[in-house]
Amino acid sequence: MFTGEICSRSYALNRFAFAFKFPAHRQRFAEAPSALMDEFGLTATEKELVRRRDWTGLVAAGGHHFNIIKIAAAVGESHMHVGAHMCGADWNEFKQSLPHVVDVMPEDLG
Amino acid sequence: MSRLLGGIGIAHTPSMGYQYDKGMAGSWDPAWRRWHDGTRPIRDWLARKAPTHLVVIYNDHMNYFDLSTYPTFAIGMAGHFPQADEGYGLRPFPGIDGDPAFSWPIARSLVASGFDLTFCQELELDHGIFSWLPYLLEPPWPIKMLPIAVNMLMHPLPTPHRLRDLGLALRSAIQNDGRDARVVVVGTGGMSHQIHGTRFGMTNERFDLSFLERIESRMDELLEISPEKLMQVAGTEAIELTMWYAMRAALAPEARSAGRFYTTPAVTACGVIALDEDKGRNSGPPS
Repeated sequence: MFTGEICSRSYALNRFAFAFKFPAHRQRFAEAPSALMDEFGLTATEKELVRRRDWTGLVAAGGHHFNIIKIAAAVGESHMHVGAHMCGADWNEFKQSLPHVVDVMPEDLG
Repeated sequence: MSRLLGGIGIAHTPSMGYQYDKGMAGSWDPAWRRWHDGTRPIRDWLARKAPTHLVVIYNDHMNYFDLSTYPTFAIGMAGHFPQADEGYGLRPFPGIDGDPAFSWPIARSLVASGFDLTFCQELELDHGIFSWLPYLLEPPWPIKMLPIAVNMLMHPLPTPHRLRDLGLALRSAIQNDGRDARVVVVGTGGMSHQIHGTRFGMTNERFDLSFLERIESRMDELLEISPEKLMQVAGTEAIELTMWYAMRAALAPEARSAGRFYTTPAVTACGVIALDEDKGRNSGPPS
């Protein structure tokens, strides 16, 4: 769950990821990713997560998933790829398995 | 005063829009064709009601608002709302017009009721609106829109009861605006879905069907479900369903269903319900 406290800690990462909405930002990332990440003030850990395309790690580090999927899209990975990564699943098997239906009601939780 | 004709609760999801465009180009995915066909009766109901204005309670998905300034409630006062580019280019639809002369009296009344909204002279609309809109209306859009964006992304979010109160304030605002518009209120949010973390792709049909049934005349039961429990049983992003409460509360308690539909084409469960102010009003002259 993305909270204000997480946002305060990881604002630079989210600002960097949101900017993938703009074509010029995507272009600069394709050409010189390190310089761009330095400019946005990403930490060494965050930069490494981006380099490794570690979507799970980036969200765990405080990236909002709606922002992180913009980076994924720029490198050719869909939201579903990000989902498979988060579930530690093989992409082809994962997409066949969706949706994962649960059957529980609020009153069952006590 | 303007006349409230009814309301619509409806899901939104990026693929709903994308698959509409694909379908219109001649290749419907069967799962989305089902949604298209299932929403026809709602479309027909809306056409019969012939509103002049839609007031839409929705959320942006980091496609217009960024985290630098994140409003809890924002209201679009512009004369035109372009489509937001979500990173895949614009879809083949024009933006949609607003109507400041209609919107300002409503905004003023909402503030007087305690809703201190952020006024947006510019606002681009993302799939929160444009994914379901073409299923219900065709361009050139025959209505003017008043969009109200709610923070559904960064906790703390407004509470379910606060959204109910927004709907109540909206009803009073519309009915006392000194104008003569015909208004339908829309509350839009995905039904069960979670699209991050290890529960990515979860849905809960039993919960959703119960929600669709209870939103008609037993919203008090839904309001008793805490946000934590709602997110636990229906997925974290299903908290968007609380925006349906604003739509329901804007209508008379006696408003009744004029049709509903439910299907799960992909990873977000899609449901829709139309609630008619005149249904259930069996006696007395029409207002």
